[in-house]
Amino acid sequence: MALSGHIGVTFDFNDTASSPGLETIKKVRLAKDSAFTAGQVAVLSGTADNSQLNIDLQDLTYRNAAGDLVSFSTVYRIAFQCDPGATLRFTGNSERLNSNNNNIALTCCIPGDDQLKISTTAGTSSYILAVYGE
Amino acid sequence: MSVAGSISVAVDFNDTASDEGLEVLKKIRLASNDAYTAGKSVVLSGTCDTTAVLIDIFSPGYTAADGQEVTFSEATDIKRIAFSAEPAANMSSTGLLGLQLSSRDSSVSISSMPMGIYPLSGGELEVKTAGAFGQNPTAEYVVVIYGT
Repeated sequence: MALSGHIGVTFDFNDTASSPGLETIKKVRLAKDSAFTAGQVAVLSGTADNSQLNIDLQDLTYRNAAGDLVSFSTVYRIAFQCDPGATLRFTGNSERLNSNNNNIALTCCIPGDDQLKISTTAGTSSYILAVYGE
Repeated sequence: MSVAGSISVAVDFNDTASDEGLEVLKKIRLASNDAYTAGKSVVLSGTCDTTAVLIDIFSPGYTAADGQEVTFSEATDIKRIAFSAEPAANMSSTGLLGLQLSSRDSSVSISSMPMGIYPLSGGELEVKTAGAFGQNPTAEYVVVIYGT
């Protein structure tokens, strides 16, 4: 089994202003593309509501290309996409992030916390969770 | 003053396996690209340590292209927050059950806002190093905010 991939984020804004004879631009660009050549990845998807949906990253039903169950001892990155919106957190509260309207939320992780919770404030939301680690 | 920009995130992995004439590929791609034609953007950077650097989300101390200070009237005006740190640091909101992101090696972490009923209720973001898990006591950080 072999894994390769990358995670890229680009935050790019141009702020412009003009007055007689003067044009000003302030550019904000924050970008990072990280390549990975080893490790494990898993994808989970479903529907969450305002009761806490628990996910144990050491007890997943996702299988890799070789057909083996994927289990994480260390998580390096988590990407989270929801519609209309939900919050993801580690049970130890080391990370807490939110996705609305299918915008992807992304974080790297503090080692040692492998229990996740997904919940909405009210109603239901679809979610997709991509986990990269070892 | 006018603001135009985009925020894109792409997660792309190929998981392959082979066994006696059989090749299997599982491809994972999760991507979003959002364009914005109005609003406000703010960038803040500096050095933090185990004592929190506090950022007032209503008046973060950033000047727009027109020379005016960028301010946000309500916490719910903030729509996206990105955070990057080198070698590693954490960013959290001071309010109840708010945002909490970490970054290491300049990776960019990003969240949509508001978070349900917890829209940065404390009114401040704090950036600091944990001084644990092998983290250096100091770090360089960048916080980028997009809002309306």
